[in-house]
Amino acid sequence: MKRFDPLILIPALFLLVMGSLQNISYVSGDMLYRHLFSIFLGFAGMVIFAFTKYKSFLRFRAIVFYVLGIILLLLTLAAGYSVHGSRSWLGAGFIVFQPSEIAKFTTIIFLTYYLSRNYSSRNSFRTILFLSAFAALPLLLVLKQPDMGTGLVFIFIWFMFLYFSQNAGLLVFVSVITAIVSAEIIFFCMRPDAFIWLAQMAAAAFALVYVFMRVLMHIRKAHVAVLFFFGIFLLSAFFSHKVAAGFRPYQKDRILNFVQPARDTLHSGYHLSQSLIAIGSGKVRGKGYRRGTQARLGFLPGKYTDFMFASIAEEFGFVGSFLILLAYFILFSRIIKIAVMALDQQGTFLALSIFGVLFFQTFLNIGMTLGIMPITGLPLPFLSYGGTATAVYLMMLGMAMNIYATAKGY
Amino acid sequence: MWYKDRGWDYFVKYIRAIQVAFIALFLLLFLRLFQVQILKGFTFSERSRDNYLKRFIVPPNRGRIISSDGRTVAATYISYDLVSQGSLSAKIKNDVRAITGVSLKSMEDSLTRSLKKGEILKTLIRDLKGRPLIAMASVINEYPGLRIIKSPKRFYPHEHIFSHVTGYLSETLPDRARAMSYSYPGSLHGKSGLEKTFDSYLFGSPGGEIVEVTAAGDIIEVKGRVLPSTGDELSITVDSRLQKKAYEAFQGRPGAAVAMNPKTGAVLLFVSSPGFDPGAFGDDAAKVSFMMASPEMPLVNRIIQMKYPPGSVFKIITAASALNESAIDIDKKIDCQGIFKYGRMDFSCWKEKGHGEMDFMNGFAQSCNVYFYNTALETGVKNLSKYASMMGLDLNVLKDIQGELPTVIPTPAWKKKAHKRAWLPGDTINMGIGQGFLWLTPLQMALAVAGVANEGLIYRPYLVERIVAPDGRIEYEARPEQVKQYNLREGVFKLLKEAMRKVVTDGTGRVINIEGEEIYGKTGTAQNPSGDDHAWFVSFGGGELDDFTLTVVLEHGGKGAAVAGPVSRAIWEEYIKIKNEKI
Repeated sequence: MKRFDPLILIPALFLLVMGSLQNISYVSGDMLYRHLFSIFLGFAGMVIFAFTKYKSFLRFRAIVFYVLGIILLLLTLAAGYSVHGSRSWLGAGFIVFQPSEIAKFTTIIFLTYYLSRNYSSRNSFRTILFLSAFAALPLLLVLKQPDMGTGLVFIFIWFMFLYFSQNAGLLVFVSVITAIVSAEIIFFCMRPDAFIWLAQMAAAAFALVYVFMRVLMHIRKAHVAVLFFFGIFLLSAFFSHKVAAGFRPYQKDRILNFVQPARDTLHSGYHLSQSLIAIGSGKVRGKGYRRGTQARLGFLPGKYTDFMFASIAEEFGFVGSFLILLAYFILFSRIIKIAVMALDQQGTFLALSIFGVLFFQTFLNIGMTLGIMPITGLPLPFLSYGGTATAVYLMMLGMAMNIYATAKGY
Repeated sequence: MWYKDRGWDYFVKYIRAIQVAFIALFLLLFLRLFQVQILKGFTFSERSRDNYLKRFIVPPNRGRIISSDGRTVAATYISYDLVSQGSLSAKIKNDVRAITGVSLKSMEDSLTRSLKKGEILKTLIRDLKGRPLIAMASVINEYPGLRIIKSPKRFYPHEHIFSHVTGYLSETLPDRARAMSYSYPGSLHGKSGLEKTFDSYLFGSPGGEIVEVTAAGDIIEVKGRVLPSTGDELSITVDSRLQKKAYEAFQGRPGAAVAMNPKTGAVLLFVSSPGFDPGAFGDDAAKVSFMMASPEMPLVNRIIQMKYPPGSVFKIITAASALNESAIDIDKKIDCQGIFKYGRMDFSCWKEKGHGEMDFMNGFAQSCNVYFYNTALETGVKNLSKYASMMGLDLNVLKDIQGELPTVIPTPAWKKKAHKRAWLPGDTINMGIGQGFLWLTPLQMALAVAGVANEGLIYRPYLVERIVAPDGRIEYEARPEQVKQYNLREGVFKLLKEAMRKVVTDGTGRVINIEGEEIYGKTGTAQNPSGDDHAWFVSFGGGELDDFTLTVVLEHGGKGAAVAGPVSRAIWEEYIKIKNEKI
């Protein structure tokens, strides 16, 4: 029993109980049973992962898992069914699951396996390329569904592994490019037809820089540098233009709403303002269990999925939502601690990436309900309705427990 | 630890960086949560309440208006509306159609209108009555989403006859509604007449229900209820029999009649013809604008909102000023040959052949223009203006009904200012017979006549005798109030009345000479630039009938005696009949 680290188990149980309380009151029938069954399944998986040496997953099995994850994602695209416009679900009848959640786990296991095997050559072009390609494959498949939120998680996983490979220059370069591309995407969401305009403005700007460098700073080969960066800028602009053009209207709205929150309160901004009203009106002690007017009377959208935190905050007040945040904080601190305690590199990478996936979603989701992050449509780990996610996250915790137990020598 | 053993201990910095970022971001969440729930909690609570608690109004019953003879002039009856308190399925709509026989389309139209107004209770069928109402009421419990609510409707049993007394109701504009503390969105308020002036008394106070609704607008629970209270009852001075008789005597011809008790100012008769049916307006703005555009101008209250030249009726003032200023010798005879020459100008008498030799009594009784041209010149414009004003022709003292037009008594100084021309003797001559610059409202003329009847005392005209709250408390009671008092030299009133009596006994006003009754009068035929002459007839009683003065105008009616005379006679006869019934 010592394997079950109480600092992981107790916060996780608390979150699951709170989530289930809400889910029981919101959904019924098969929908409810499916969720409760998944929690059971997740606990079973947690026990299995807690008792199986994590090292045993970081061999050939990692490749099998990764390939399985990719196959499931491909199957989803081919034979899955869609809810709210995203083809993300696979299965039939009672058994329905979301392969992208499973792929999160298989991808971090495989990337840990790959990076730790090639750690000595981590700065080589070949390793970086392969690492990025392995991260990009599930990302592209998820974006194809299209599921922007989960896509962000895979981008985050990729960033994490670049970070683990300790290549600072690369990380800076990737971050700058990402920032430029994000800015360009936002720009093209606002002005879809302004590609030529942007190119002309950039050309003028770069021409000015060239004159500046050549005439005032007397740099002879200024044209090489200017042309190189101008080329990169044009390429990224072209890419961003294509991406922005591929967005659905609601996706564009979400991005623009985040940039300009006051843009449209009645339509897409409605979610955010109702979420804030729900959370704020909970005040200190909340309106009481099953008494949340925002959630129960239909004002709060996604009350048991994306906006679960708002519905809990409304009914349990600051006391309840503070305890939720505290539970997450203890859980995540513990996983970081386990990463520090781990006996080997793989253990550290695994624990950190488990932390990363869970924390990224938690922060984005709660930040979204509080209006400090864009609306992305990511579930809140352990609280939101959704069997696959809950089960997979519990299994991740099981693996973290195993890393802990191994380090402790149990 | 693996990285220490192998000399990789700088990796711990990478983990620390992650830890710092994690703690910083979580701190951000904690702070934001504190801000939203603790600091802004109150604001968001209010907004949440606004989301799910809605208030809807139960309209009050507007108070009754009752005539002096106890007839209902305006009342409120209860109509029944079928409303929906949430979304409706097609099946329910079909059921309702089957039960009431109202078409689906009209229900949809009504729902759309309600949705546009943002009403919580969406009206499905307005004013349900008879068999469909009973049928619907008997099964209403089977449809939790449906409700039958009482909805008061204003009702005017006399239709056109009292239209300018009561006025009509309409929805107020949002900015005006804010000025009335008791109004609510969609409430109906008086737009004219007594309904407007006494709106705050008649309106009552609305009740309401506070309900909990879902985002879709379905009502979950009624949280609180306040019953509406009925408005006050208005007892007015107008007699419905007199009013009806007078209105009918007009036979739809445009004009006005107003009768007052000169000793109190109580208005017994207040007719502006043509009238309109105030009940037909409802909240239908299209009908109102149609009425407004009508060439007969039924919405204009001719008693106070239309000005006419007074014509020969003004000779009362000319005579009073001449007598009081001793400008004429009443026995001096003037020869009327049908024409009066002044300089190069000719002023004709209405009788082309001329009246022959005329003294004051005959000149007045026959309304001889030539006699009064002379009189006017003798008296002078200064006196004419002075007396016109003194005797109350420019009074604006009616409070009970709003919208009176002001009148300016012409003087040489006024003409200079308004027309940039000097006052000519011809202007004085014209003014002496009530033609020219002086235009006034029938009510202003009525007040001057009341002043003569009452020998220099003019009371404020009023229509509302008493206002009684539903609990029987008297909210308001009219008290006669003097607005003007003037004196004439001794004997002048007597002489004036004698002359006016002669008009009725053997002058132009013989049409109202009722045997055994003491009635005084003066006819008037006012030429005007826009068509046929306006016919005037003013009269008042003496002896037992000294509580009645009557002013009648028929717009473009023709000769005063011939046209306004019969109308006046019908009213006098009715009044005498009423008076005899009382005794």
